[in-house]
Amino acid sequence: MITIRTGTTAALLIALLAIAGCGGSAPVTSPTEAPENPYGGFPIDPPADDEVVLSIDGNPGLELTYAEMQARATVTYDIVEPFVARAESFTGVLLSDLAQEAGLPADAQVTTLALNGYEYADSLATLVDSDAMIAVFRDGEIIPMDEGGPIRLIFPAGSAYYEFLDAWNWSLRNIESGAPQP
Amino acid sequence: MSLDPGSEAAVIRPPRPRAGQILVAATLVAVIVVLIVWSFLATRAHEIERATIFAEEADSTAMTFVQRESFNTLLLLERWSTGEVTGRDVQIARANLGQRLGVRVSSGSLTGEIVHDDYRRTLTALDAHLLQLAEIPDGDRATFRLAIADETDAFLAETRELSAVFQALTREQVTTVLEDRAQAERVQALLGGVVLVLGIALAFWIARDIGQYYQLSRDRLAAEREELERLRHRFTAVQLVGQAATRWHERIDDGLNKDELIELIRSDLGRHVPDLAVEFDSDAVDTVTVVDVSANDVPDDDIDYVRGRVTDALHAWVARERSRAELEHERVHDVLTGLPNRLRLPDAIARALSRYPLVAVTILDIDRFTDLNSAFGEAAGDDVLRALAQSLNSTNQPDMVAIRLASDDFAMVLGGDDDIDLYDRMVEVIGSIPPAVSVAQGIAPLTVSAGLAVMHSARGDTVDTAVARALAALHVSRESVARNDLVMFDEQRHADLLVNVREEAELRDALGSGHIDIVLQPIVDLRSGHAVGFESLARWNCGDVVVGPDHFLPILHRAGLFDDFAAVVINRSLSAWARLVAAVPELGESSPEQPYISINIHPHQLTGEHFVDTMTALVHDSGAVTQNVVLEITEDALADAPLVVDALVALRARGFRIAIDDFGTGYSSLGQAVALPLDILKIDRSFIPRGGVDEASGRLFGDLVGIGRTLGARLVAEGVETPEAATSLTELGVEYGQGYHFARPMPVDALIEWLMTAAAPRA
Repeated sequence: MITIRTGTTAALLIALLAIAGCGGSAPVTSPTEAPENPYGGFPIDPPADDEVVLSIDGNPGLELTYAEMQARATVTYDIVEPFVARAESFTGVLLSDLAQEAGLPADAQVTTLALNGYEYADSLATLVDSDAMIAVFRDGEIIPMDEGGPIRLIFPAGSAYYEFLDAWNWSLRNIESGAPQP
Repeated sequence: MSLDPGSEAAVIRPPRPRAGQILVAATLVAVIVVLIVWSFLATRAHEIERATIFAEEADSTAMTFVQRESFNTLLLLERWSTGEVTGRDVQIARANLGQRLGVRVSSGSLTGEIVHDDYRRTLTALDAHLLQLAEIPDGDRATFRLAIADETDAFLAETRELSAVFQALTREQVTTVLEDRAQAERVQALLGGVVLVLGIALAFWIARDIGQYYQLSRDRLAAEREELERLRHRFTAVQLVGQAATRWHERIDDGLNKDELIELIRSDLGRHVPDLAVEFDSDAVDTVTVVDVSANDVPDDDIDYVRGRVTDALHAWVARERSRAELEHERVHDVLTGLPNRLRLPDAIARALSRYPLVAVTILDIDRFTDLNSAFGEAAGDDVLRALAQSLNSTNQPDMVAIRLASDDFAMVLGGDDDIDLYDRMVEVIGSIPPAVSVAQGIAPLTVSAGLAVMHSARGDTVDTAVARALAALHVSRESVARNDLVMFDEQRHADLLVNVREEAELRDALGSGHIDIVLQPIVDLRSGHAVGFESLARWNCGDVVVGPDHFLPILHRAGLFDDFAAVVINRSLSAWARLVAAVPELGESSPEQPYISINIHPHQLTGEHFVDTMTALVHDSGAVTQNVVLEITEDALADAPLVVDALVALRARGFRIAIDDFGTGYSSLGQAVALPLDILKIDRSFIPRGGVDEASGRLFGDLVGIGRTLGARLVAEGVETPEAATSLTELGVEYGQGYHFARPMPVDALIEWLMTAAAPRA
């Protein structure tokens, strides 16, 4: 089964490379040939480097591509990832930096929104106080789509929200100002 | 249970914990410790359980996300088929599902491992199609979608099934937790139950021991109280019997008869010791004994005690009976002769009268018995009396009763049918009296005089009458010179004698019963008017009539009662003086004019053997001194001058003063008077004039005063009845006076009152 999957992954990889090549975009890190997640089903290509992976409301607001996010990823948290109960090292961008850059007021109410539509609303200050970080790499690698990639919100061990898993938004896509839309 | 306080078993000790109880208590403590430890551990387990539940909640959330992402994948597939989203969107949704299936739950498993096989199988089947989505032309999307409808439906069904799977999983986990918890609680309950059972058992066990101890103590206490009560009752009963016994003795002394005594004892014992029965043997007349004492529930000691008290009482009764019989015998018998005494006379006469129509009562006395006593002594007199009694008691007249009346007086009672016959038989009795009796000093002659009276039962003669008649006849007999003369009373001849005899009898009674009274008449100093002395005068209080000595002295002499009378007078005079001194103390004080009581003495007394000593002793016994006593003798006493004078000298030597009474009426001459030792001369009332003193009497008084002065004697004028006489006598030089003018003779009480009055002349 793994063999088959490897085969199909290779085929997909060729196809994607072709598309990417067409786009003339920055080089893309290849997806893991065999997914670490045994229930991932099949590997998914990561976003293109120029694909916007994070939009933040605010004035002026902020939109960052996958490549920009990778470029900005400088902060590393070594933690035991609570969902998989495994020691992992995450590298990414502090939420506080991005929020400031987007021009979100410190006392803003924000909603984090995932690719699958998962929403979590909280005050920006609370999240910042727990040193929220938007991780881009895990153990030096991009984060697979079926393991929370391409970017995800994490908290360092010892912070208030480290054990509050609702706030750990996987496959983060947007940070919107205000409460979620009904 | 033993009631013996000394016994070891009687000591009840408070219950001590038993080994078993200690064991149970230790077990109880151990179980409680275990329970506490268990409860603590259960609490810890509970904490873990709580953490587990929280983890399970997290797991449950993770599982819910699996279902959610499954639905989301299918939803996006639908939207892909309509061209709303790209195939990559669907694949990203599938990737998100993969994220959720890769979450590790609290049990350590991945969520993908927990979902059921059919879910995994249908997902894998679906994955194969999802992988192709990017390659499907837009126009074929709906067709593709329809083509994989079976796979999507199967996955949808299994996704829906996840709820049940999760639920079952959760239920299983909850059941396990609850089972653990129930198990812990069951153990707790079990331990709690063991504690409860052990606790209750121990409590009951100890309570039972305490209860038994309490019951034992209570029984013991009750038994001791009962025993105490029994002892108290017994003690009380013994006490009461003791008191009753004292009462028996008192009642015996009171003269209880045998039946009354037995009844009293039975009644008392029945009341105090009802369980005890006493049997008496009282058949004999003068004895009674305890035959048997039987009892239920009465200790032997008490039976012995009761037997002792009853026996004592019976002995006391028997002794009293004997003593009473002896006393009765002594009372009615004469000790000297053994004959019945005068008390038996009425009974003897009554008995004879009950059997015969006639009864002869003879009274005899021994001729000149006083002389016999004087000549031979009293012992010889007694011998003679015994000989006479024996003679009278051993005649051939078995019916005759001989009685000793007094001194030498005897009575004989004999029943018969005929006067003459009775007289003859009495003569025979008297004739059998021995003519003389041999006594220590020689031969004492024995002759008697006797008087006989015959009582007729038909005539209703009384005992007194008969005795009086016999005495009258005896009187005649005494006059006779015939030896052993028996005079039979004759109504005609002896009527006058009866009076004398009756008077004598009455006077004798008066002496015995205290009907001889003493009255005192003050003797007054004529100049000062003070009482200086009191003459004691005898009165016979004879019923309503008071008789003076002039009338009864002859009877006394005739009846030979004078000695008894004189003794009575002396005694009563001294008693009167003592009472007078007690009321008026200054009379007893020593003074130149020594107040005195003046007692009349018969010359016969003065010549008595021990008169001086006896008189002195009597005065001292009465509390007076001899100086307080004046003895008055009549002038005619001087006839027996030598003996009398000796006595008077002796009396004066003892301190008595001597007064000559009725001076001037007797035989005495002035010369005789000079020779007499005397202190007071009492001038006879016949010399005292009623009014003033004439010349003749004045000369006489002058002589008398002269004699008195010569003798150193005071003169007392008797019979001073007028103030004129008193004045005249004073003028004539008479010192003292006595008479109605000053005061009449009066009883002591009246005299005391007279002395107390303000007007009374005082000594």
